[in-house]
Amino acid sequence: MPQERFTIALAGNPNCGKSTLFNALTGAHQHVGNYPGVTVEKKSGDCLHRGVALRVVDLPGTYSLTSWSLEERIARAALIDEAPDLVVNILDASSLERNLYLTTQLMELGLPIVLAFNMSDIVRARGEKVDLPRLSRLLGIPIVETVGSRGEGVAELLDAVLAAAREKRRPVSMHYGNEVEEEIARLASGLETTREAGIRVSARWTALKLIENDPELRERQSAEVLAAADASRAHLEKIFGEQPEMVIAEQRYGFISGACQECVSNTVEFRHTVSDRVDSVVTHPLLGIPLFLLVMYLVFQFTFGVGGPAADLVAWLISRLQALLSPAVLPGMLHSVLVDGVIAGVGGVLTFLPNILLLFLFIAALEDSGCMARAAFVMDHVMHRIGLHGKSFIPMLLGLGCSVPGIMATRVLEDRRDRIATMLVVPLMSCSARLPVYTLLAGAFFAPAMRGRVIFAVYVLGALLAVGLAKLFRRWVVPGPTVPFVMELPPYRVPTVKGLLIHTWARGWLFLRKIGTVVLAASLVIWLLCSFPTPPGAAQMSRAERDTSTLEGSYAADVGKAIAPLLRPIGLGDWKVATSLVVGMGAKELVVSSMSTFYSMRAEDNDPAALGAALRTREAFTPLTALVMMVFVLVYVPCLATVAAIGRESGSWGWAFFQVLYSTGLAWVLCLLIYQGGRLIGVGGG
Amino acid sequence: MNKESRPEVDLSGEGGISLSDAPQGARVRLLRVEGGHALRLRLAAMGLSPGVSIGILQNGGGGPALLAVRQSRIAVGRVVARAIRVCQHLAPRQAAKS
Repeated sequence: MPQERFTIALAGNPNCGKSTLFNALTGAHQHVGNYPGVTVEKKSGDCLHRGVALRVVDLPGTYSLTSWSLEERIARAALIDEAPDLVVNILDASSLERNLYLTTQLMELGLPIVLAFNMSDIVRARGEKVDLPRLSRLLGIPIVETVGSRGEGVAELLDAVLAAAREKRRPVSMHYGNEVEEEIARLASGLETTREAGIRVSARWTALKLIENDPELRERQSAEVLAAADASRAHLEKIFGEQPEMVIAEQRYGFISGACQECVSNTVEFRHTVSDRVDSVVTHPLLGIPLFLLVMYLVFQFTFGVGGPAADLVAWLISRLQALLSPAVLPGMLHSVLVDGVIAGVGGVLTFLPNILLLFLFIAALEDSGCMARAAFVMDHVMHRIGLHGKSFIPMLLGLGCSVPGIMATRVLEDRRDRIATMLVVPLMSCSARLPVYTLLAGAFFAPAMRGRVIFAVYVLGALLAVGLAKLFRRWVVPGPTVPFVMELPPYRVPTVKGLLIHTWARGWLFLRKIGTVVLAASLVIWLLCSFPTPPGAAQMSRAERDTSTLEGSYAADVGKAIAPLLRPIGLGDWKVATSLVVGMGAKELVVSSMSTFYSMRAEDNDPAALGAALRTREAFTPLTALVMMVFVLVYVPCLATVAAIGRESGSWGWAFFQVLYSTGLAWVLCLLIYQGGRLIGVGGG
Repeated sequence: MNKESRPEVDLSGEGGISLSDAPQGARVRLLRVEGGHALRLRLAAMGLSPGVSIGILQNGGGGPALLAVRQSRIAVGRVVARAIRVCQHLAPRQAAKS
């Protein structure tokens, strides 16, 4: 039985409710990936309607279809190259004019379109009436009313989709006035013959885009066509006294205003009054930042307050699993690789999962409610001074929880230079995995009253370094103009539970898949380094003795001994400390566990107080070197998962390598200053 | 004609003024955008095309300005605000409330 199937693409402005509708259409049947070579999310899903299989592709939210931004290029390429059977253009009915601007450009492409008149409930609530049948006739496109958040109108929308896809009716392109149309016709007649094979677009569209001076399409044209296009542009500029692309933009809005005047009966601005009143406080130059910091403080309290016990539970489950797989059950080497290598490594990532999922949940809530846009607005002034975009603040903030989601969050930045600079400094925002190291050392070597302050100072140092280096990187490493800050502040909305869960899960899964695999490989390497060669007579020793002597004679210790002399000028010349730092490259909390293997003789003994006491009696550290160690752990090579994330997200392992080099160099120089400076003024001695 | 407090703000002038200098709470009309091709098209796509009416909701400090344009709220950074030339709104509707 030949089954009918269609591919439909969802297009629309950011914040038009597109992803809510996408979720309503496809439910859990979604695939999230990346567009090849770039970090823009590619979402698609399947749905079945009246026996017809529909593949739904969610395009990135865009305001137009030029080729000036990454999202727009991707959306356009997806429409042209993948040639869906139909485009569903989702309109935020409450700002109809602006949303129809994209519609006019979709009409140009000549693919069948169905309009989803979304959030129609808001329009109705504010007493506005839109004559949809009339608007549909004017545009020549079927329109269906939907309320994506409640799933209303979805069935009707799909009915219209099936009808339009079967009919294959192409919308009529709008008329841009005689002068422009003449030039379009002139250019198009030359294009019919020179048109490249494989691009299934009309000559009229190409001609229009050339008149708009579209950089991507210009690249594909011959010199003659470009000369003709330039002549047309010059001609039009002479007539209108304005650049042709602006003339065309005005024509589009003119057409849209005309249509809206005929079809919308009341255009009082009502929607924003409550939203505006909130904004007058939230975006206030003086009130905004403290308010924003308060919200962020609460988010962190929740993330780590609720996430902490959950993480403990996961850690406990993993330790139970490790205990269950005792050496009695599994032969020696297999036991070691499985328990100490695989489970310890992957388990380490899994213990972060509750915190990360909570953090993702809060981000999704902030994004879906419209708060994230306000945060970027408020922070833009400050971030602009250090050469970054307002949105750069978000990844840096997330870095306090875990660098990996922080680096993944740099996707919100449109400009590659901003993205790279932000990515490089995110690891300096002290992540939660480094906290155990601070707690251990501050607990052992500082008076109770001082501990909190010392740890706080380390966090502040990290943030200051991040800010300073961001400015430096933006100036010297990835120089270039800052991208103009322009963004929409959508009206506040209550996020849907379904939407939040789907967003959280999709990102969490991406994190597990992408980072988990790298960490698994890395933890196996670190396990190999720490477990070989096996010490002689290991079979006769107790477990704890064996662990200690294995680590002492391991390749990791060899590496530690080799680099220990390099760490002597900064007061960390003990090879055991050096080895712990090497192991800590796997994950920062491993610094604590390997020190506990070295110093407390009982590997199972992970009690920080006992380890702290052991460190004091063995005189491994002084208060000064303890501080140096904290600063070193703060700044040196972020964990492998972070390095992997930087490599992935920047699209180049060169940046990951640069990160490793600069952070280690910076850590060494800083620690040298602190240690030698401290000795000079006679603190802590050493 | 000019307000005593800010004589440099002359909304009725021929060339208009920079949006960055326009008073908060005013409603103005966009004349043109002085900037690159990309910025102009980007602003147009977000509703900021020549002739459009703009309500200025927030325009203080050195931070971004918040505008009411075509029923949506658009934030523009200080640099962008300086590049937008505006003039007095000719058919004044209800002024934007701040």
